Amino acid sequence: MSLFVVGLGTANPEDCVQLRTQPEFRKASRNMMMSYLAIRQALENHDALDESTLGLVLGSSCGELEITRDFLCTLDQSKIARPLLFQNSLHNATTGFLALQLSVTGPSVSVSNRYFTSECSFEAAELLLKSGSARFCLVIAVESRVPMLEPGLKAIHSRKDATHELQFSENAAALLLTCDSTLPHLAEIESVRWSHKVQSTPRTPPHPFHDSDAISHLIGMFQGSAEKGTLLSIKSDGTQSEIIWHRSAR
Amino acid sequence: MLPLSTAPSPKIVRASWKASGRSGLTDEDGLIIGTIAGEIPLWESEVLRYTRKEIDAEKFSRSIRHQSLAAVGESRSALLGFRGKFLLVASACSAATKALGALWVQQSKVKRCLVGGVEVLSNFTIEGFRSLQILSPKLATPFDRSRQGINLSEGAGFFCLENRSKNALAQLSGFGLSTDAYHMASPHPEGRGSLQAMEQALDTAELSPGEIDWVHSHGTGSQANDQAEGAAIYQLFGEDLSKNPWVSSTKHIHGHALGASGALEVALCIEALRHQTILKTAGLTHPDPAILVRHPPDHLRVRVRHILKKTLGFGGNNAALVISEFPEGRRQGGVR
Repeated sequence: MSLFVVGLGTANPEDCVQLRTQPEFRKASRNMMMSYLAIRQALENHDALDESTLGLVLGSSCGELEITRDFLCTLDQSKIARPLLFQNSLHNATTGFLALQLSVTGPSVSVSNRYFTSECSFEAAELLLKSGSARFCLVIAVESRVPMLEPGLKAIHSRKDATHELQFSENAAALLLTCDSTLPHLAEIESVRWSHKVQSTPRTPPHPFHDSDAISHLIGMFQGSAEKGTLLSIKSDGTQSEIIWHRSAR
Repeated sequence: MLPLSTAPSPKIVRASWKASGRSGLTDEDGLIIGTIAGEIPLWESEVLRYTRKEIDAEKFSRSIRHQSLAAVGESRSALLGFRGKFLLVASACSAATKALGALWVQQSKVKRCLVGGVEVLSNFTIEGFRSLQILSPKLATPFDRSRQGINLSEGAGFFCLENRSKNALAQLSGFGLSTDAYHMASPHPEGRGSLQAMEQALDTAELSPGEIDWVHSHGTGSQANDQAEGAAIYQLFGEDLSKNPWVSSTKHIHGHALGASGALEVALCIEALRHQTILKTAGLTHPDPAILVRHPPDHLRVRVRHILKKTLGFGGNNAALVISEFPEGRRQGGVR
């Protein structure tokens, strides 16, 4: 695969407090704000990037589902359909908002694949980079908690796997990637493998809707001291993925 | 080409599976689906019932599997017994899915790629677009000076992309993707991103603007979309309309199927190549004088080698594809 990591960043809901007072974020969702902050970190020291050659791949399982719920409930209760809630509830709204804030005019796509959203995001980024559609590509994984879903999710997973308490989290993680090996980089992602086939029994707590954790864990590994590593994710249905990376030669 | 469906919603899922099943997918192949609302019709009423406390969490949980956007692909993979690579792309109305499918095949990530879109009408999409005040009270009339907006529709379309095929019906010879970075729900008024996507598509197809025979536009019938597209097309092809390719939209006939529209209209382009026919913009009686494009006066039986298919989507998402006849085209590869 050979994707070179040249920037990284993470954000959580607490980080968004600083943004809420700014006019351009007044109508933004948590997904939008967390993603924006993670990207700003990833773009530090890359001020000279040409936005027309910068790609944007956003992966999210639930996307703006909470806004969708708000739109439907507001419509049901007040009989008024609010256009802002509708436009913000579309799954690619986050990507559009980020492109607007960052003036990104290169290709942008929003992808989803419940258990493999992060892995798919890397694939999509590689496609854009290797085809020359983008010289740099931001991969962002983001999930917000959707309280409405949590009792139902617990009901589902308590039936499947009673040994683990389903944990919910929310965060955003961003990586700035390139295929250009001549640029200084923090790490090289050698391969991303994933399969729908059941290969093992679940061993880790299931996080079916919170794939942003995968890239957050990867960033944690990059920030550690190991020279190389493998992020093995075993999903709650027994499928698994493997992301192999190594540190850049110093 | 795989069969397309414009059937009412209960039949759409079956139709899309009939289409995808005929491709004989194996685990070495890929599946890419584009959609806006996914399976929202299957859970939007349950959200309200749960909020009103009419059902408990246990009952509500039964609809949860439909709430992840990727559910639309998971359920189809399960029906097909397909365990290969799957990707759901939510790029609004744009045809980005086709471009990613082509790249998957070109870069040998998958042997073949079944790519397409599916959209089923829901209360969510109908009321949402109504709130934006862009629904037309009559049949949409793209590029007409009296146009009043869009008509929503539903459907599914799928294509099998292969790197080399003896029996391809057409070839996807170029693509371009771009973002406006202008507005969340309106295209750049001068069509900046749309122009960028078209230029990229011509570059990757190694074609000049003069080699395009027909531009099948997104042409929704909304004021903003048609104006932006017209501006982008004018900038790309130049002032002398008599030398420009024909430009038309077919949404007066089939409506706007949102995430499926790109796939449905690519099918029309393939049929246009097969029948060497350019379709006129149905419903267009008084062209908007501010939109300077060359409208076909009627359906035209002319030589058609290369068609530029363009789409625009919410979030400023633009895609353009060059669909060329096969086997005369320059590259090996195709759409089956």
